[in-house]
Amino acid sequence: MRNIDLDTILVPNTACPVREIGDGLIIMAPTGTATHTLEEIGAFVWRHLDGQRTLRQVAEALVGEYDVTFDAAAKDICDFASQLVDAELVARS
Amino acid sequence: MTASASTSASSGAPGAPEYRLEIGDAIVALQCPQPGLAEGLAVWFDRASVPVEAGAPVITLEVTVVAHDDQPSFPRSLLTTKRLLGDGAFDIADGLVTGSFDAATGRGQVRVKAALLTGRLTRIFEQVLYQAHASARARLGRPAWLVHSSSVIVGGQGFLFVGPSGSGKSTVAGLSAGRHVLGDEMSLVRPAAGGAAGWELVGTPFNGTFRTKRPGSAPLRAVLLLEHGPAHELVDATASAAVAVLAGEIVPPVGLDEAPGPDTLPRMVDAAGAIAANTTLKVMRFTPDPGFWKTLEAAFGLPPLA
Repeated sequence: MRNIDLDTILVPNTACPVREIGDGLIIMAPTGTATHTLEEIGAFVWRHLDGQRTLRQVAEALVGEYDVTFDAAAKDICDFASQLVDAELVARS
Repeated sequence: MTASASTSASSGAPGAPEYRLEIGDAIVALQCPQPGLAEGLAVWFDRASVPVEAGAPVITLEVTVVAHDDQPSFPRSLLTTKRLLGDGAFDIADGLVTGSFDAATGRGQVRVKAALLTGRLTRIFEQVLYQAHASARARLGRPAWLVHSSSVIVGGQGFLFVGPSGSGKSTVAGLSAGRHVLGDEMSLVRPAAGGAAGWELVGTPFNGTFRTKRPGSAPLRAVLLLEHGPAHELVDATASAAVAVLAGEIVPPVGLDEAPGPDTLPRMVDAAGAIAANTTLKVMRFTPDPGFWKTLEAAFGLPPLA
């Protein structure tokens, strides 16, 4: 399988219930046995995984909103996206 | 405490020994035709059967202990091994517990292999009673949530201590001498009476290792997420993290005639979110000494222990 990179486009797994709690999110695994908590920045990224934007575009959006360099944002987003894929919370679009 | 059981003619087997368990405002009647079972339950829960005058049971279950030659396995969760067989019948862990429940009448039967009512394995059997509570709640139409927790009342305010196994729930109860400890295993959280905002914290019959608890209830003042730490301190938790921890300690709201489904976990998260929306949630880091109460007294304006 192709690695996650900045050209990857991801879309949330619609089988995962999501709840907005404060600035964050709680995403429930499709198996219904685990919760995943996303704090403010993770939630920001999640909301931009819409099946349209590449991870590069998500990183650019993050740089526009928070005090972070593009390189740092790009690395963190690719790592984070890999975790979301492994947990089956998102899929490649 | 004197252990006792009652005999009731209000249920399906007039004259049969019965042990009545009160969980919040839900009375669950356990008919026990076999000699000694009702008395044994009273000893296990360390409390007498709820008197018949307290009200009619919401549900009534006939409990039968089944002798067996096999050596059954005991799953940690009686929900993950539960199979629905149709018409309200169920099988848990390949015959460890079998039974049926009619949600319309509130009556059912539970057959339990004898080994499950031996010593601390009875704690696993209690999960059947959690399911009975969920069935009772559905019949009452009044939501309330069982939460794995310790709970203590101070100054008329209820404090709920939650965290995973080993986080210190029983330790907190044991270090709360002189205060009104509701329990160290299972608490009930229900909406405040009269439509008021907020929640009420209620003790339950379920025991952990702390054995000098007292029944009672109080407005829920705070939910404290337990963590061992180098000192006593209260720390703000992000809302999503706190709700996730609390949701993980809520007993799945699955009735006797139900199995966990896609909506089970979302309901637990929604309940935790609703509780969090109307109370204070903090991370409580503590060391195993009663000094954490000084921290709580200062933070919540509580009266010191007399």
